[in-house]
Amino acid sequence: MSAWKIFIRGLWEDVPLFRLVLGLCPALAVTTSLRNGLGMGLATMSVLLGSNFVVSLVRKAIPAKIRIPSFIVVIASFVTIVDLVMHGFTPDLHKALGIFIPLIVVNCLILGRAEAFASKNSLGRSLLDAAGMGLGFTLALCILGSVREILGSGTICGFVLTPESYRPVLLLILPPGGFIVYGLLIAWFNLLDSGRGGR
Amino acid sequence: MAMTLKVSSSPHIFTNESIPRIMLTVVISLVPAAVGAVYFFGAHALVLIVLAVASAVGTEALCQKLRGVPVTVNNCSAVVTGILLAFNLPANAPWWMAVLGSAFAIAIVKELFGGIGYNIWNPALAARAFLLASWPTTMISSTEFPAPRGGSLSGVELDGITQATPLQLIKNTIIPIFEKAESVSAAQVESARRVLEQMANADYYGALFWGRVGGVIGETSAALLILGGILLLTRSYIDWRVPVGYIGTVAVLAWVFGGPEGYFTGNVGFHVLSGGLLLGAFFMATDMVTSPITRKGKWIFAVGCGIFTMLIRLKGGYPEGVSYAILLMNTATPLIDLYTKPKIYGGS
Amino acid sequence: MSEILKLTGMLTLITGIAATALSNVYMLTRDRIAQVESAREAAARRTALPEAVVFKADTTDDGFVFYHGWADSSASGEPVGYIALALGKGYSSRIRTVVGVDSEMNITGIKIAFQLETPGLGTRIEEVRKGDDAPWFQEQFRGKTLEYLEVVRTPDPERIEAITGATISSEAVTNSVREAVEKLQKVIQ
Repeated sequence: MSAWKIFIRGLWEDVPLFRLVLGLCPALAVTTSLRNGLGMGLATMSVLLGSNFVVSLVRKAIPAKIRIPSFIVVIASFVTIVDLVMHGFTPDLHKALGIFIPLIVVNCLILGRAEAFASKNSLGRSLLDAAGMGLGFTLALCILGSVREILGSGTICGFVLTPESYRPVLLLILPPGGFIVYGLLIAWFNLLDSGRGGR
Repeated sequence: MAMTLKVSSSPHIFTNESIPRIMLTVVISLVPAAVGAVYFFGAHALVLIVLAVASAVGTEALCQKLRGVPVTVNNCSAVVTGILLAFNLPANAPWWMAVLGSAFAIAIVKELFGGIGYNIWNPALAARAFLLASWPTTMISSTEFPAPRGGSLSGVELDGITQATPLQLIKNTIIPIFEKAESVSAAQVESARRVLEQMANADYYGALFWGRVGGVIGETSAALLILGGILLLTRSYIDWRVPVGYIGTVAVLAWVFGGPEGYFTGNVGFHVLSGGLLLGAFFMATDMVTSPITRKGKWIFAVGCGIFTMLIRLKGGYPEGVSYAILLMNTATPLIDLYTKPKIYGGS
Repeated sequence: MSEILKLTGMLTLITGIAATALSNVYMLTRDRIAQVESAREAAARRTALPEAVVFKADTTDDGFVFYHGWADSSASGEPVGYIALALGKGYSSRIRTVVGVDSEMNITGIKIAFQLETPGLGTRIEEVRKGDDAPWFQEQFRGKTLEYLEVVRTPDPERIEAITGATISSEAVTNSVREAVEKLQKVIQ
């Protein structure tokens, strides 16, 4: 597989959220606004880059029997680092994302990439994979966050978009709204595929 | 000439009943309450009903076209959904709420699950939950609901207390006064007690029965709802077990737990006639698609609806619990059907 | 046997490296985080008790924490006011509010420190209206005394006007503030 293919796969063919359906918990919980979606996406991507990097680096040294606990220790360390850095440097975003930053540890996307890709591929390819998957995840969260923020609060990034008389669809920034928007987006992606003759 | 034998599988009894016929009857049974709604709340109620029906029928036709299945809007089931949704709106709801609510009911709750017969929840009620979560100030601040013609919001005389629909008044004003009786003035406790007394006399039951109290447009008059319910019962389109079990459970629980001053002092008539109980019990809990099939299942379903309704009314965050009670029991329906499946004769 | 030892050693090594890395990051970010947190607290205290510049924590025998606040940096003489944390059970979260009172037990200001109420309803306890620079619901508390801490449904400058559709959150804040002031009153007088 070419380097370009590895990178671009996460952005379209295997978009984590819409195709692999991985990483749902943070995706649904924090995407009430574009800013939160972007913040969560970037945080996840940093962890993914770090963990893919380390896992690929030590992949030959780690015995198969303890690879899962080892990966988890690596991932948890990067999550804690991201958590501490965000707390110190982006306190408002840190407060808004709250418990969902520590919960990146259990985001299946990260362990999934470590196990399925980084533990079997070279350093460069693993980083490309992390960048592609991370960007794809971030973009998906941004789409979810934008739809929910525009319709659910009438704003985007805090700027008022809609006329005064618009009464936002509150449901969309509540948890059920997250599920409904997510479901419709998956349906839309499937529709795009069926238009191209299916997969 | 050879004799032809026709072989077909059971059932062999043929009936003229069909979905369009049943649904048309349901529409007719809703007409008295709809006419009542227009009488009580004026032309805007008619606008809401017409828009909700038009939106439901239009959305259904559109969805069925997109799905590539036969368009069956003639069977009137979307009309029923539209009317029931409009019935769940307050009379001051903006027109677009009726349109959006119906579109949500049909597109998301019904067609996405496969169309008529496949939906898990009653579409009108799920759409009401959608509207309630999205625009709560319009859907529940009943202090701003319009009062019906010839009556007032609460149907009682109040001094120093804001008007609200009966259930809202009880939940948000009267009960809190009793709960913190030490910290409020004696005059307030006195006026709260007077409200309870007014609610327990025959005149007040009359007001609830004929429709001289406020509420969403379809729940105002108990008499008109019962009229429609009787029509459906005589045609056997709905099973008497559901309304009887539902209303009965509410009555018993209201009597035991409903009084603010101790057990067995609750106002049964008030809880049965106020709010959306009759609308829910006759027209929404009886929905063939989303309620259990067997008799035993129907009893369980009805009693469950009653328990949840009273739980929400007395302990929950909302003044009225009918819609969420029915939605919860809709969710439990497949399970109830599974456990009440009749045993095959001779089977074990 | 030797395999178990090898695996154990390997895992120990990995966790050891991870722990070392983490403790370094922690040391690097510790001051910054402490700064952020104290700035946040200071901002809340400034809103609750604008007159004071110096604060000192104090704890009663039953574990109730409150602050004395002085207007001059020498922190001598009678404090200008006190600050306490109010805890109230809202609709979907325990709402934490920083409450400030002057020595006469008039409320000098409140600041919601934490809440996870329903977006668009309960969260309006922190809503800032167009053209204002402070949340209107919290501003209502300024200058009120205990007996006027009562939620009403109609606009009333003497009392606390509830947020439409979010009576539970409004009452949670108001009642918890009342309890905090009552406690302060007991402790101070």
